[in-house]
Amino acid sequence: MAKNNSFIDTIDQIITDGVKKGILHLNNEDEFLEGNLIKLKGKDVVNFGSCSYLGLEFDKRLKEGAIDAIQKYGTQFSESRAYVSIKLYKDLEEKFEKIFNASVIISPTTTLGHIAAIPVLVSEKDAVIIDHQAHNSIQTACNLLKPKGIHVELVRHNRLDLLEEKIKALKNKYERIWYMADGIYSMYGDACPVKEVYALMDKYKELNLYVDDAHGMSCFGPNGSGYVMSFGPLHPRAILAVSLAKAFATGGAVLVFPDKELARKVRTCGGPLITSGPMQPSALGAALASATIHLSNEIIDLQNTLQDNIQFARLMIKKYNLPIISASAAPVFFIGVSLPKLGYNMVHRMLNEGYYLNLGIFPAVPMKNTGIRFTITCLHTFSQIEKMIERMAYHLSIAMAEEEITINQVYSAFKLPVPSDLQIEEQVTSILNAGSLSVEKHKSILEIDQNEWNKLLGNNGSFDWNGMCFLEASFTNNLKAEENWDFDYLIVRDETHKVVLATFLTTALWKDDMLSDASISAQIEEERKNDPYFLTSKVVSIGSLLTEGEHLYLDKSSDHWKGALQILFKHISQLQEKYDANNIVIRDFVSEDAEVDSYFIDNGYFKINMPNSYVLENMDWQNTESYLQRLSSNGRYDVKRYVLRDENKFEIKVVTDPSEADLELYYNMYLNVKNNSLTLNTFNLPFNVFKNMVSHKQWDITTLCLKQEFDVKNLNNPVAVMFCYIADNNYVPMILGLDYSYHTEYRVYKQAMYSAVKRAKTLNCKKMYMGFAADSEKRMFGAKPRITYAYMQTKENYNLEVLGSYNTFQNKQNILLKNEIVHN
Amino acid sequence: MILSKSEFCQFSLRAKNRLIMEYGELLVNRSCVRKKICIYKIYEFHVEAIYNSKNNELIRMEPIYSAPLLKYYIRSP
Repeated sequence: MAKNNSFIDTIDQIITDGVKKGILHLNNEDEFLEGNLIKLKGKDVVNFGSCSYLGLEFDKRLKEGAIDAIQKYGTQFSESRAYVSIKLYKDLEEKFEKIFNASVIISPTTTLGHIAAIPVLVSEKDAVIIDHQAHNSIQTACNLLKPKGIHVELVRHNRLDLLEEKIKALKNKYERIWYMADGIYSMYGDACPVKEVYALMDKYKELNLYVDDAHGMSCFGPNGSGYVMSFGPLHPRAILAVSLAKAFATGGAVLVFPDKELARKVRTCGGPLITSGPMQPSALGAALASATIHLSNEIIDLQNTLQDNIQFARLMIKKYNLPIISASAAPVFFIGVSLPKLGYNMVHRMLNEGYYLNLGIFPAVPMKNTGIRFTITCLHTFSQIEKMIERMAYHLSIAMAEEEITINQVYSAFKLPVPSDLQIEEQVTSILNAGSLSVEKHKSILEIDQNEWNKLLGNNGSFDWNGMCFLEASFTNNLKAEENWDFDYLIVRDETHKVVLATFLTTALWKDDMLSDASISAQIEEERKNDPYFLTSKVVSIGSLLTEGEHLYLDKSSDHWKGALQILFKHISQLQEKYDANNIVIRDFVSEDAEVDSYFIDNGYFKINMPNSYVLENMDWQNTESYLQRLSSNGRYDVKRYVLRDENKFEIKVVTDPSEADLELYYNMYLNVKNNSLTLNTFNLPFNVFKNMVSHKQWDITTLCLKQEFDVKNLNNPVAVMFCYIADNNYVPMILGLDYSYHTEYRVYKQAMYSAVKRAKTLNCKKMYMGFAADSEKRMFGAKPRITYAYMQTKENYNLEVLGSYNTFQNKQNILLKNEIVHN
Repeated sequence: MILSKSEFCQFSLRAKNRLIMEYGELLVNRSCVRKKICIYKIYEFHVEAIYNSKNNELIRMEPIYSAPLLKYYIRSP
């Protein structure tokens, strides 16, 4: 599934939800700050979200340094550093050269530092591999490389084995390979395996390291030079970027280079260092004072105090049995809670108790890996740390019971073993009124009453009872993995036996770029020539890849609809584990419902837009003329001009018993269309599906042939074939095959669509589900778009991030041209 | 949450001192030649702290494992 255009909307939705719940975008209300208490919502709370790990922001010397600098140099020295730098810059760079024992450049922020350095350091002859949990600012800077055609790819977090494989594959094609990583990762607080990376660099001379040690600066290393430098001098092929806005407590950033020439080049050519404003004198003055502390033995005391607090926090977390996700010496802690609803609940509860902690949520972590992130600083007392952790442990068990989440689920979401002393029996506590709900799970439609199924879902598309029989027969016992699906059915009833929820689920292998821009799919398909299953994932989905329409029956008038949805979520999670699937998709919702949206987000789903689906309704016209009168003026004009003009040149045949050769021809025509469009990128359907359609009474096969007198190319074969499903009063064209010989001349696609409309009318159908894509053609025939969306959940974001790293613009022009051919 | 003696011992001298300052109770404060000895009760055990009398620098801070020694400190004036 794609990280498509709605990705920003998804983030907007989740963050806005957090803002509405009063835990994101907060403002403190203090007139004065000293220590680690902040006032939020009228209440003093202990701040466990600060990254000023050494507590230097209140140090008198730093404050005086800032004031002194303002007295001497004013509030700003507003001149590009390409021309003149304020003297404080030189003084500060000298101090940093001592701290790092290397050449340095000061930058106003770490992000600007990356944007200045990375495009200068990485040439067109280089390749870049980014750890997929590297800070967003590195990824942003690397995006600047893509328009230059520089090879940029992601590697799974801290997987040096995979990194080495990539190095082997790239080293003969590129001059240098850059590995981009963080020293301490900002969300889980885990660390880069520096020693092992250096060993790889020694083994492969092509490998270079660019590392952002924002969270390690000051806390570790000689003179507070950071986590990476705690392993010794910087590797000769490593570049280090550190933030001064965290433990250093002043703002700004430093880039550290192994040689002067490289530093000079970045200083001279790095965009933001030429054109962006410099750091303010106040920040430089404070930084000088902080650097002086770093160059004294005092930094050791501060580091030790911080380590004591970290050690104490770790011990308390262990004693209170909290599900901590990583174990490093960093001052960043992440307590897993799995679903966002538990995260929101916990942050609220802790705020009420007087503790401010961060919510770690999508997109920083996968939805199901939501957690409570907190930081420890030198300003915390042991007592504050213990009380906060004790309260967290107390509230976690209550909140878990409230949100129907067990400790086993939490550990399982993070793929961690449950500690033996927590091996409690997992009891499914009653969910909202769940005691009165009964659940039926089935593996085949044959186990379900035909009339009831058809009443609930039979009129929504091609998945009535018979349609499901067809799907089950067609997508089992095939050769390839992607052609074999698992089927599961779920029916939830209330105490009166009335159905509250019914649906079917398929588990199958999907292409992750199914909904991506066609230009991205084209790039990925190139990779798939060598690795057919590159960027594919097993997906548990409501509905299937060969059906469209509202697959979920949910009686929202029932008092139990939320309870029924909870049962669905739980069932899907179980299927996800059972089939080892990465993604869950609950799809084909056609009406906006804020309550449902919020409910899905709380349960770890995010909303994605699907392509519009088209439906032609009210097919009660009497003749062609009255049909045309219903169309828009443009549609009428187009139908007359492109379709009716040539209508008499074609012959529509209803095929009832095609020969094997005919069927093979139709299959190849389907492949013609399939291979010509990447708009909805799926695996090819197996031939078996077509065979089964022939023998199934509800599949209607029609061909469109050019009459002999117009067939100047002597094709003597159909130019189009359509496989449509008839369900009750609905006509559902599902598969189209084309021979492109006459495509441009006679607009065969449009003719085929029109022939389907006529055929549906002949069969007295009242509605036509016309499917996704080819929007303008479907509108032309009077079909109305339905804005369709889905809810999705991923076990991990890696594939989404990899998709996001593809260049949307590359080859876009070619793909657009290619798709034009199909639809004209 | 109660820490055990062995957990207490995992901490640095500086951290032990902070633990004592935050959670401990001073029971005995006695001076001898160049040394000052304090006995604290923390959690469910006792800690012996030895300071350099000259500059009040903390030299050592360890749980007391010997019951007779503890008795000696507590009972003797």
